[in-house]
Amino acid sequence: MKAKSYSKYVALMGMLLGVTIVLSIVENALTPTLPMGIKLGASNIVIMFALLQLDSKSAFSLVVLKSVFVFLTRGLIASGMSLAGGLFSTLIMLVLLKNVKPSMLLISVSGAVSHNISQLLFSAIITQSRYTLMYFPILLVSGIIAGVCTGIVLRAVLPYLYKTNLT
Amino acid sequence: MNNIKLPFLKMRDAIIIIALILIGTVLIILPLINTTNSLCEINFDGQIIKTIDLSKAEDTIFTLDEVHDVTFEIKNHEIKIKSSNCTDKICENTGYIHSPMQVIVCLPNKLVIKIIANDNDVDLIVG
Repeated sequence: MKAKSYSKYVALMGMLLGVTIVLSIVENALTPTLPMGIKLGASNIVIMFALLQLDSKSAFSLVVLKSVFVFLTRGLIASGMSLAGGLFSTLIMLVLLKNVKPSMLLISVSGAVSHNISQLLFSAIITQSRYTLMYFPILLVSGIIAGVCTGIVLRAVLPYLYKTNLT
Repeated sequence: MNNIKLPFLKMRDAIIIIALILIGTVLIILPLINTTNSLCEINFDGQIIKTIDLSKAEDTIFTLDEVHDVTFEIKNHEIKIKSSNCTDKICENTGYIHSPMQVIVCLPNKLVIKIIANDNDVDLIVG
């Protein structure tokens, strides 16, 4: 990590983690109205920002730190879900970024969909039932819609973040 | 320090996304067309604890010994979780299910309710 100054980097990461946590709280306040674990995945916006503007190490540490927070507030299963989804989706986004020159929407959609897929696999392991995987079609479509939404938000927010010269 | 600037959308990526949406929609709609008489299986921790023939079941509200904090409701040959002690309430919000390939999952209670077709031999072994 060759940041201009290390303390600036630490402050930025702290802020990003704060934003992630706030987004996930707001999201969880909204989620109970939706069936089958359909979620917006708003904190993926921050992870994508970290992947694009910082480096993969920062993105992965944000994911891990967020799941620690989820463990403290919502318990072990929710934390495992968060970690499984976060790590896998960040990995997929990273691989796409390195290899296929994707557009922003493809990154956010693949992030959201892979997040859903890994959480689905994780819940199938917990429930010991492969029938849990029947949620896949709905989570695929909802993941795409959520990914398009987060991609649009990131697109809208990025110019302002460039101006603030955060990184 | 990366500083990657991506285009917002490429034609190739738009086609991929639209294709994925179409595949997902087809996968959602297909099971709903098939409404044969169906069996309902309630699984707890990977074990089948109750099987109900939904086409003959009368409207009831019941609980099970293994998961006594969860209330099930059968109405018009459809089943749903009426109330549960879990925190996320995903299972309650899933609502009624009736056709094969539909499931209700309550992760905190390790509970899976699934519908299986009665008239053809779908395998009943649950991993």
